[in-house]
Amino acid sequence: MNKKVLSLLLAGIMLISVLAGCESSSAPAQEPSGASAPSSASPSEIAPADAVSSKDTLILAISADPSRLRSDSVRGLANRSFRTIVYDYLFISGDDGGYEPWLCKSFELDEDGLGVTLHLEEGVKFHDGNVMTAEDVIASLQIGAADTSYGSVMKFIDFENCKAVDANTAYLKFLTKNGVWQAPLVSVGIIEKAAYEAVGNPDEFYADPMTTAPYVLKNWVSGDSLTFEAFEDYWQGAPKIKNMILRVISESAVSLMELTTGGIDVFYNMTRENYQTASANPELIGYDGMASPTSIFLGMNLNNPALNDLRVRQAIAYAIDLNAICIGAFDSAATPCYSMIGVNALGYDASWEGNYPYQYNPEKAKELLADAGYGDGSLAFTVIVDSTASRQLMAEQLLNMFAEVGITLNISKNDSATATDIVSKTNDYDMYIRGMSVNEGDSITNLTTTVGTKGTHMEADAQHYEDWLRITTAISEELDADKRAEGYKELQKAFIEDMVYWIPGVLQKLYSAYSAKLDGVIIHGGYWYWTNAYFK
Amino acid sequence: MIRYILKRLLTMLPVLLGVSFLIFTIMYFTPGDPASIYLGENASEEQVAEWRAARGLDKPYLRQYGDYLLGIVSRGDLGISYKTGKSVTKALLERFPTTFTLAIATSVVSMTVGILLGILAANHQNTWVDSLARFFGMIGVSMPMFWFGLLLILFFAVRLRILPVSGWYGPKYIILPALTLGLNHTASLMRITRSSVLDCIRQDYVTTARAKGQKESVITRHHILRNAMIPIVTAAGTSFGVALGGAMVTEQIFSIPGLGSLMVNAITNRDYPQVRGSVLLLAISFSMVNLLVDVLYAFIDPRIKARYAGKKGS
Repeated sequence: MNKKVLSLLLAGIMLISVLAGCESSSAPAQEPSGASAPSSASPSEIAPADAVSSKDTLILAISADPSRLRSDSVRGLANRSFRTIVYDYLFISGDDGGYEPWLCKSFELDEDGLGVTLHLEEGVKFHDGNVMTAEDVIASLQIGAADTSYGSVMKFIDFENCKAVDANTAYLKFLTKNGVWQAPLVSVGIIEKAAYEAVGNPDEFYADPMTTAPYVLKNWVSGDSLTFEAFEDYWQGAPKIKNMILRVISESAVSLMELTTGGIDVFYNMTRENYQTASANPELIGYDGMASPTSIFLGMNLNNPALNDLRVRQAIAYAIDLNAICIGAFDSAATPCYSMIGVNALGYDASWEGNYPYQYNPEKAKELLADAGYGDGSLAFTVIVDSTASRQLMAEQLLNMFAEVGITLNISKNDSATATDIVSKTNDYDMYIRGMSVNEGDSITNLTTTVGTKGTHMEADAQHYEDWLRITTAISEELDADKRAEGYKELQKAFIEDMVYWIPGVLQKLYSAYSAKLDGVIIHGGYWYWTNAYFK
Repeated sequence: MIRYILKRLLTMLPVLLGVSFLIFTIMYFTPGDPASIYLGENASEEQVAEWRAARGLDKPYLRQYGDYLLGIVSRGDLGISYKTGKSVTKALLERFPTTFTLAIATSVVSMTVGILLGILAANHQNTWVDSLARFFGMIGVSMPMFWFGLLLILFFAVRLRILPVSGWYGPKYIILPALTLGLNHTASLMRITRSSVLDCIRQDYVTTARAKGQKESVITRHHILRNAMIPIVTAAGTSFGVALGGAMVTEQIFSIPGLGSLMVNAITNRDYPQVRGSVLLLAISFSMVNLLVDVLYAFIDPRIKARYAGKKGS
């Protein structure tokens, strides 16, 4: 009797598990009839559609509560789907790595390159009805410059001599020539000066910032959701979808289930597996067309005498099988990366893709190590890696790859704060794995802040450090984009052939999916724009 | 009894002091500077120093702990969150009702199902009912909560579409999280109830009651259950305390804005004041639940009540 009951019970449980795990539809991957892929055209060039949205609320999943709506905290990778509903910027990123006008409709650079006159869009209103002025723009930049994230990249602006020429014209004075002066202006959101001063406390202000953005924050339930309402006086025309809800869902699997059942409409930055599931659902549109925003790379500490030898660094580069890492650590959701500059960024040299000298070659690696006097297997390095699962897997793969050429790799796993501290503040490591944003306009800021000043101790290689300084300084000061592009190419060549402190690893792919009923979505320059979106 | 409660409340103070000291010390000596997270790598040394000074992190360890304690005692101030810039006390008060509601719902599920199943299993020892209940108990304690939660969502929300996937917007949103969190507790409670009832069933007073011709339902209610209740209440109390503090996984799966998810995020972000405040609140909650359980003993068992009264007299 007992056996029968147990058998029946087990069968029941198995049946429920199978039923729960079954796909609700066995339909093959297909594009639903009338479904639209997102547009990549510039949002300023698209005429607003006449369509009326059949549903007035769009729900978008975000993986973490942003805690405060500072423009620096909404610019990160995780927030590229929604930052344009919170802020407007003077310029926006283009798909080609350049900058396009937004609140600043045109500009004139001074002949000496030491200043710029910005002509602003007229009649742009803040959410309280006040009209945006040049004073607001200068104050926004000044407040942004005081922020630690932007401080170092806005040092070239001489705020004491910046002025509002008239209500719609701002003049920015520079302390030094800067070819990439637009870069920070893509990231600093414009806020109302008077509202900021009236609130006094930045934390309080950024809980509900006064901006010109297309949506107005109405309610924020900590850890749960942020509810926005369309701004009817938006300078580009009122958004078609009247309410936007950002729901905090930290579990990727749960976000997919919410998307499948209609609990949310947009799921940005999903795993490849989830993307494949979503793409197979005729009620959803899977999207993988965004340029890889993050490069994962292996950096080296040149204060280690062995790593200060170019042959050892080259041997390490030969020992790494990038394709295996893409498949193993990143579950095929990454592609090998051959440059520290993003594929869509200014000056990217695609020729390295076919001519990358360090194709996986353990025998060559052994030869180089022997040549450098380390052929006896005595080399041992410690690599610092943060808590990101894929990076830890990458470190474990590197351990095996290095072992094959006689290098012992010790993996030091740390939480993100500790990993950052070790690399940026100490000398207690040999290598580190980290990510770098690679597709936002000019790469010089990312290069100098991520590669040049922290962690690599490049100054230990005096000769090449001079080259690095010379080229990066020339790029920074060059006003002509074509000449800057040439500078970037020179830098890539020097890095790959002479420096090899920083081994480009992989470019992570970015997957998203949204309801097939949603139309008019614009994804441009790596960011999502919602004002023209509507439900069919 | 009141004197006993007051005495217990007083003995909670050193416990809470110990908890606060322990968590403060652990967080203090954990490697990694929170300034790195909040200011980013590009912050200058001056900016880092200013940030640390504004939060009192530049002071010596004991001074920092002293200031922290003083803030709690004098103003009930648990500090300001590094991440949100908001009062930790306020954030905890915002989130506590959600977790408390979830813990109550979980306890209702686990106590109802667990105790009933336990009694049923004991009364039908070594029959198929007992086997079924024990099998359920085994499944309940061994099934990972995370997996069970996802399975419930898949079946009830995605497949049948009768319950929502996640969120916290009304009564129907409580069902799946309460079942997820409750499964483990139900199983534990069922096992304890079964063994406790079995102990009582074999007692002479039960045999005597049966010999006297007492109805089985009366025997179960008055002679068996009442005597078996002490370990059951202890387990139920512990289960409630664990539900308060251990809802992190469930809250993460179901995107519930409660204390668990607040604490997970605080730990991830090195938000020391928020972590300390959350742990302290959980310690207080757990201590209060333990006190409540001890008080309940007196109502269940007259011998314990007499002992309390005796202490008062002595």
